[in-house]
Amino acid sequence: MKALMKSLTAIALLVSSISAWSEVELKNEAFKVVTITSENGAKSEQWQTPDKMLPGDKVGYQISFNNTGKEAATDIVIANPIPDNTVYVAGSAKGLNTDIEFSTDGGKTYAQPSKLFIEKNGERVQAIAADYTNVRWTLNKPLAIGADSSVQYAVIIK
Amino acid sequence: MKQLLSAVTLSLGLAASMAATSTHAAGTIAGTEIINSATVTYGPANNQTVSDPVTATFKVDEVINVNVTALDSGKNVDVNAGDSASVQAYTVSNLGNGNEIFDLKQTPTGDFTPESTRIYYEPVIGGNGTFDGTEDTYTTGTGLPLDPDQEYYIYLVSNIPAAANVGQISTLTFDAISQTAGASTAAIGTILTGQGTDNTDAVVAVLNGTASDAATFTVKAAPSAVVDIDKSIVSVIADVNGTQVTGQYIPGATVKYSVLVTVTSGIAEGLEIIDSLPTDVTFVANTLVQQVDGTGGYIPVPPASGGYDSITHKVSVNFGDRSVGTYEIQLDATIN
Repeated sequence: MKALMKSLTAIALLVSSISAWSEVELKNEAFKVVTITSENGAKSEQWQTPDKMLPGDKVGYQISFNNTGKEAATDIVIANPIPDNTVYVAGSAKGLNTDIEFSTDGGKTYAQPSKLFIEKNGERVQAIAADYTNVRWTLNKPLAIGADSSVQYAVIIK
Repeated sequence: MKQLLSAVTLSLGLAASMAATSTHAAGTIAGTEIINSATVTYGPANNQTVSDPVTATFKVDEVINVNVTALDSGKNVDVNAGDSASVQAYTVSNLGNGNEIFDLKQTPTGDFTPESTRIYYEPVIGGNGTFDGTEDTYTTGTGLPLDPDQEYYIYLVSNIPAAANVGQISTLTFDAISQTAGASTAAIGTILTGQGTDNTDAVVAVLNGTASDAATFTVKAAPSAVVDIDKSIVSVIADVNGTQVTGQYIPGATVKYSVLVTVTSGIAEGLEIIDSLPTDVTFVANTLVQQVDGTGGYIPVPPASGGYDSITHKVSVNFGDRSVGTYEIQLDATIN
């Protein structure tokens, strides 16, 4: 019995050390998204340090991640509830080599926008951006040792 | 708005948590923390690692915005000279997203100055929109705190000088001025650093942090004139075979009628005496006369003021707006 306990402990240690071989670190940053009109009338968006954040303002979030472990990180999923008092901006979620899905039920289930439906007044209707409660990025390739990447999305402050 | 902070920190926290489920026209309450929380999951399906949430957080800053609207029809209240407690009604609404204190002020301009103007307030929710004396009195300079979206009825209650003349107009301008330091002189878009709710910045969205509207008092002739009317026959004179006979209502006799109107109080607007003559008498031309206040004698009624209408068989005399006094007409008619 004692011997069995020992070997179980050894396995547990082994598991924890395996997971430590790939280690993904996250960084979460908020920006104020400001539309700049150039002299020729062209409009572009700038992501600025957040300042004077008011209802109606657009906020951009960048979630950066890098692999600080000793082997490639696989099956990376970034999950992010849409903050309270904000509304997701349709089409704003971006991420290289990711599948982007949304949830309307607080993260219990996810799907792509075309496959997201909600109940409204007893009818099943296509969900709109304002219905989204969570956004999720699933990387479709491993993140190499030392590599980094990022995903973004934007909301409007209610 | 910083003055209130120590007292309302707890309730603000409550408001912030309620804001997640309730919608404010003014938007998310100033000071609310917007927290973005991301987690990463990785590793093979049989051995996944889930990170702790990593957050990015900022506070929503305050917008200072306010609206004032005069409620009286045509932004005017008709009054009479000497009226007491004439009321102008307004609303003041906090369109910003923070609790904000506003000073309330009224400024008179125009033909006369309303006297003893007082400012009363009552919340729109729970109020009845009509000044009835149950409202709270506002003292200029004390400040009225309004929550985001909160709206008050404001009543400016004035006495109208007895010396005000009919047709005179006085305007009251009513201002609600943000008491946040620097707001009352700020251009739109001015940022008042650290002056918002919960030490957020405040952004001024209305010039000088002030909303204004105005309404007039227009002096009308007192509608409450009390008028008595008395019609009488002054004399009946008949010529019977060259002899003057009085008091006999016989064909050919001339009847002198009197219509006496007495204004006993107030002002009778457009006072007009209309006398329908009996069908069996004939109006005697050039006999229509008038007298005011029983003095100065009877003078012919100017054609512009009235006369006899042969079609309607009526005599009418327009005296215009008249105050207390007597107004009499006399006319002759012969019995057919």
